[in-house]
Amino acid sequence: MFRRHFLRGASGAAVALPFLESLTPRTARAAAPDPRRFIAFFQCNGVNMDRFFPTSDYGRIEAAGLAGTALEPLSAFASRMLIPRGIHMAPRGFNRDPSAGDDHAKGMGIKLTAQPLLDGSSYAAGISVDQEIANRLNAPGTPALSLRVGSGPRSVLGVCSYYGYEQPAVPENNPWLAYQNLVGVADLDDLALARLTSRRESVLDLVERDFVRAGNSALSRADAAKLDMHLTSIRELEQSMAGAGLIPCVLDPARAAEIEALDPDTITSNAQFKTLGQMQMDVLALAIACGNTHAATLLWGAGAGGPIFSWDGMSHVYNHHRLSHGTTSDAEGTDVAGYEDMLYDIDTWYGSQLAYLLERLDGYAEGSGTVLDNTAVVWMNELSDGREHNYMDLPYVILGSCGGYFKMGEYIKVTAEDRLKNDVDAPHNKLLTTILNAVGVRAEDGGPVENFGAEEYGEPGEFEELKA
Amino acid sequence: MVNLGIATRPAVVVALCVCLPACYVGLDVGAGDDAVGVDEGGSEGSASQGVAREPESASGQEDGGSGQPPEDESCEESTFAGALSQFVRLTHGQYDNSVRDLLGVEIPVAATFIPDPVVNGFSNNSDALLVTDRLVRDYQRAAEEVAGTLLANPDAIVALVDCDGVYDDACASAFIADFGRRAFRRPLEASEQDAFMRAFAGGAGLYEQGDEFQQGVALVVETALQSPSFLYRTEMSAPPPGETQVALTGYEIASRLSFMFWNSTPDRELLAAAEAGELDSSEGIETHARRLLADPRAADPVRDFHAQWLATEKYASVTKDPELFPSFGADTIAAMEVETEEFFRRMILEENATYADLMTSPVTWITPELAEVYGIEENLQDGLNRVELDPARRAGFLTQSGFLASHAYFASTSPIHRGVGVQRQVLCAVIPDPPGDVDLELPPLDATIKTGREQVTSHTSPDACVGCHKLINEPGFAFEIYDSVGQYRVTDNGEPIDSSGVIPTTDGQLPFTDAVDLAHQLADSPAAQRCYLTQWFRYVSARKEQSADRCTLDAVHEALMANGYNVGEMLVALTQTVNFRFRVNQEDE
Repeated sequence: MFRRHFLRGASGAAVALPFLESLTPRTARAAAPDPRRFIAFFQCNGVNMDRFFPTSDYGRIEAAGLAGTALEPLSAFASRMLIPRGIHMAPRGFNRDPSAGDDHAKGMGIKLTAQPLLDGSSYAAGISVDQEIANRLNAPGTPALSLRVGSGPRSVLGVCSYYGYEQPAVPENNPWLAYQNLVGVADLDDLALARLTSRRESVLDLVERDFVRAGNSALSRADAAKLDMHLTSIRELEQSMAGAGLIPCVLDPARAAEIEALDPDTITSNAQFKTLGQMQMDVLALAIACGNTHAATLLWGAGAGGPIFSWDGMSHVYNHHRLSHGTTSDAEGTDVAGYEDMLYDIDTWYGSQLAYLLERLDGYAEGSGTVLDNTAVVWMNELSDGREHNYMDLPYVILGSCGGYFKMGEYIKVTAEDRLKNDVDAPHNKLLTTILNAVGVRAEDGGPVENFGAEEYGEPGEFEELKA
Repeated sequence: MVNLGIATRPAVVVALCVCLPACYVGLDVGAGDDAVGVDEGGSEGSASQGVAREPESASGQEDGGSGQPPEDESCEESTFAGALSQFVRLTHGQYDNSVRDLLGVEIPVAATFIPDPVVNGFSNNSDALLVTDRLVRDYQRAAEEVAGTLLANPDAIVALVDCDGVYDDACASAFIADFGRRAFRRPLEASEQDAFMRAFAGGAGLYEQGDEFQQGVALVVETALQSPSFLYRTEMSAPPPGETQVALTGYEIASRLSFMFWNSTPDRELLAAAEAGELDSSEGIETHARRLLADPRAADPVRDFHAQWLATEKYASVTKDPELFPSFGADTIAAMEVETEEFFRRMILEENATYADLMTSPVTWITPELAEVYGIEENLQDGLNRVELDPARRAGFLTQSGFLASHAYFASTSPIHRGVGVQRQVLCAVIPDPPGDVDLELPPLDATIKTGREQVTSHTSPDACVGCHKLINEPGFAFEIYDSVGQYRVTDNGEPIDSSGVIPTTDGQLPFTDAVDLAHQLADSPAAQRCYLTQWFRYVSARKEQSADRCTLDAVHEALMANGYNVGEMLVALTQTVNFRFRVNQEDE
């Protein structure tokens, strides 16, 4: 069969398609024995900075130091938590660096890319760290999973992940579609499955032939890259089920049925925010645990957006963005009474949702520990202080040591400056570089990755003080 | 021939200054040396002469900047065209439409596809239409669903494969040749025909439903819908050595025409015209362009373009203060969407509208939910009503509820949003978002600040603000005669409304008395007309304009100005250009 030759990288096919990298033989990428992963738990609109960080001094994190802060719901994970303090964004906000977009746009587009935003579209000028990890560690053609809870625009404000220069990865907000994508076909009897498999093989044979025809002319690099992404994805499809891990890529059937029962028309409704979030976290934890992807982002709402929190004891009138400014309206606004407490309640609620995700990851045994031990879940935010649109002293919390790479149970100041709100010596791209090395990405020479992001804004190197 | 220049990605495509971004009364292409930016910092009077042009190229189109015709070069003998990908993926809407037109059955499946991003205002930018792992799986699921739907609907298969009841190999071969040609928008090569025949034979027994012949048909369809030749509008013609441009084949022209006018695949007639060589001449292209424009399918791109241009997606999130506007709700929003769609469709496709008609028509089509907004007291019938509004109070789409309510706050108007909307969308001006650290709260109404106009004027008076707000505020004030939901009003906070002002454009300063007057002036403004043309160009070209496109746009613009800027004629004129008939490949190094 044509396809079999094709998959083996037969020289004939490679000659026919000199521009398509995916048709040249690849070195087999065996699943690593101890996969390490990265998850971005992405909150928008900043936090109540007075009640987010531990009340204790730098050093050991104890549950008592988390009491009364937004981290209190994570007390059970105090010993598996690392809090770096004093990180600023690079490129910076407030028109401090030449880059398009307002502060919200920057907070969203730069956080995972460390790249400036482009004039015109306002999208980021380069790949994000989650997709970089996926390119390097996932099976070819499997990008990082990008999920969203609730609604968001198809613009820079609604995206945090990027395939590359001006190539935003629009997140999926329907957990059933995300789950279906992960699980493939389910509930088919043997005959039906055999038929489907034969059909798919036949279809993909012919589809690949069409790529050969397409590749028979000189393509621009952009077109070659585009087709390469497509073809690589198709070849991944042929390897049938996603994932190579020991954990099957399926949820408990009862939970799957609940997700399937979701009315797609309610995906963006305020009232479903919590329900959807937990469904998305179930899918996300599964995708990480079963080996589908080494990196994922979970975006809650959107920059300059977010729901009206009206559950779990909250009964707000204004949406998250409005509360983050503390005023009743963009125009003619007066302060919302008690908005700081409302923000604290929101932050604490996000902490409890993060605890839900951590429990899911911790529920999957792996090696001598759990999937959480081999993962770095990073709670990050578009901004620090929302009312100031501040890009300094960003709230980061790392959960899970990523296979022992990160110190655990510590609260560490990473800036040498006295003032935490500074943009001097702790650009956030260093954290992204550290994460890349933590999950096992290597530079071309086999050594550690030196720098992630646009060189002219950040600094090379890792946050050494965070490493175990 | 022209050297198209080095096409590397600029490391940082930012022309903005480090301190504050600059505003431009915009044009589209060609950065002229005579351009004068509206400088920041409030230099007095700069806005009044601020006639600058938006820098050409963007969105990764990799125009090195050295390939454009010099500003002083005559366009008379120009053969310049901007570069475009050879593989422009179908949009999700085009996917559904193509399936419908290929199979004769409505099987909408694309709603579950992962959405495409919006780039520079449009979600069909060819560089951002990628096929990721997720979309490959979406395409697979969709093709399987389409095949299954066909098998459950034998009549549809009969309609597709009509062999007088003799379903043999010859019939299968004829079906494959016809279907393959329509799906791939070109004749199948012999090897492709053979491969599909094998797929057809192999289809027997691979589905639960249908007989062997029907199953073969289903597998051919399932395969074709996942093939790159279907999923991408491919233009494989390559320039000869030493040349940068090449004339497209008739089939490639057929695809450009049908996706431009229908957002769908060519019909048999268009493919036959391609085969017969009719599309090798401007005249032949024009004939078919007019035929396609007259077809009901032309409603789809007209709807989709205006929805994207005016961002009607935003209507859905509009909320209004229930105390002030108790009847405003989801039904009103749905009615706004209907009005915007029906207005442009009927005006352009049924009323043969000019650009000026779109800007000035007091006639619109509404459902009863909007009667209150427009102050209509007589009873309207359910469904659509053609209504003629007071021409002294309403003129065109800028004075309709969709634009007005979606460019306003919860309780109050927003002159700034409305002014920015006019400058950015209608005049193609470059207006950056406000700097992040500005306070967006307007000062409260008091004894000296009595109206919305005075609030905005006071708030934007600092030197750092006036540079941009000179372009924004006054056109925004024009709309102060409409409240937050778009109702006409004569007072604001009990004070009389001053809706007069001056709008800076590349045509110069246009004084106006109110929004109706402003709309009438913009209707005849070459700057606004050219901007509308440019927005359409972006949409139908699936890319932003590049410097090399300047002559094309100049020529179409001049021709249209001479005959009243008829919108249908504009679309036809866009097919009569070098850009439409030739391609320039994207270059490397």
